[in-house]
Amino acid sequence: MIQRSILLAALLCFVGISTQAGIPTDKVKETTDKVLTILNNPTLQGDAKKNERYRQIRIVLDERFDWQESARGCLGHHWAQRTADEKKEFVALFAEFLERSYLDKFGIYYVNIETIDYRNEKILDSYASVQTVINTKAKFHHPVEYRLEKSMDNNWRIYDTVIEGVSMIKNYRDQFDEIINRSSYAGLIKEIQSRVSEKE
Amino acid sequence: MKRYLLLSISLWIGLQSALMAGVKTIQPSRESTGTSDSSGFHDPFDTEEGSSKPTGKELDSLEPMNRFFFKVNDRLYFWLLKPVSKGLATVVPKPCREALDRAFLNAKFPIRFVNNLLQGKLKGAGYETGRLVVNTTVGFGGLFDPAARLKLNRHPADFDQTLAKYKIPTGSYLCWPVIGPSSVRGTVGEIGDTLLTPWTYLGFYHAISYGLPPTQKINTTSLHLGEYEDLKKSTFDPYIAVRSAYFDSRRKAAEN
Repeated sequence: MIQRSILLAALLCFVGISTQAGIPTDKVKETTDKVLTILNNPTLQGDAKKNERYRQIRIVLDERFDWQESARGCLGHHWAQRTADEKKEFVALFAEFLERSYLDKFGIYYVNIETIDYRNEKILDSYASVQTVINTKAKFHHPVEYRLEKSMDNNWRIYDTVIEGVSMIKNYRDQFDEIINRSSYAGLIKEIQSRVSEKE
Repeated sequence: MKRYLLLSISLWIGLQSALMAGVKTIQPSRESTGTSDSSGFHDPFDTEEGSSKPTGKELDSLEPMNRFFFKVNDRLYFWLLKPVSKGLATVVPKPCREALDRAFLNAKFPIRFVNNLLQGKLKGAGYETGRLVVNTTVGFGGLFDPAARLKLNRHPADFDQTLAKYKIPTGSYLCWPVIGPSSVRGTVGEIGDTLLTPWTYLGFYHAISYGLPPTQKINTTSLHLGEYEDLKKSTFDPYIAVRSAYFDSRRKAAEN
């Protein structure tokens, strides 16, 4: 059950119905709808079209997700101890991993989704939280919250997804904290590198 | 028979030591996680951030044992649960397995009803009663879910959540063999839920009381194949990922 929610935790998003108010909500919905259109495109079905499907979804996600900000949050308080070069390396490496694991989850989960309700929106200065509920075909209702930040160019971008109370950033932060404390920062980087290369 | 006896003994010993360990360790963490200031990463919606609430590590005094059982469960999944569930999935069509899943959930109505009431959620208890009546009759014993079409939505509730509402602390984290992630409070919750499961009362020697729980587990797993594999693929320390998610999702459940 819990394993299921954490799985849900990296992914779920993407199907839409009914919306109200607010630019952040509109942005989330827009991205969601676009991804869904790609996933439902009859000419992009099957394993043979996987790369093309991924390529198109990636373009849509890159517009809306701030992978670098997410990666930064995942390192937590260890961030401050890294040099500028290490920070750059980490963000580039982990942002890549995050995006890929996001993409991987579509294949598994989006088929279970029936509709998405956009429930509520909170804005605090340049931050926003968009509360949605994913209604599955099995008639379960999973709360999914998107956290966004307004960037310099006035664009709202998602930095965290919280599913059933499980924040993607916090979950990785807890893992990284453990790995760094047990081995070292270098050990963590090695681990991420090996995972990124095996996903190629 | 012997297996169950052994299992219950080990559960009991584990529970004892966990309770004792839990008493020792339920203390707020002194060290602030404070990522919001030291990393330059700021999240105004992260209410737990930098708070003194235990984040999981502090509540895992039995980590070596828990990690051991996590590994045992991992092996059990790949060696036993997955092959059996896959076998079921090839023999029984998905709609049938989904119907069976619904019927199991329908039969566990008393858990949701009683806990909705204990939490003062009259509306939840009412909706669940409506669902039971409609789905058990028109829905052929819960195999189908016509109640959903009548907008009678699910209102899940469990005993761990009830205990959380009554401000009982979670206590030590526990990863049980077969059952999986839990806590001292979660274990008590599980026992409470078991007492509200109808087939518990079929009698100690009745085959169905032993046959139904594994059947449900296998059937449910057959509908979620690939998810655990993906969890392992997208995490770097699956044990920590699951533990962290366990506490966070339980905290969220207690807010609802």
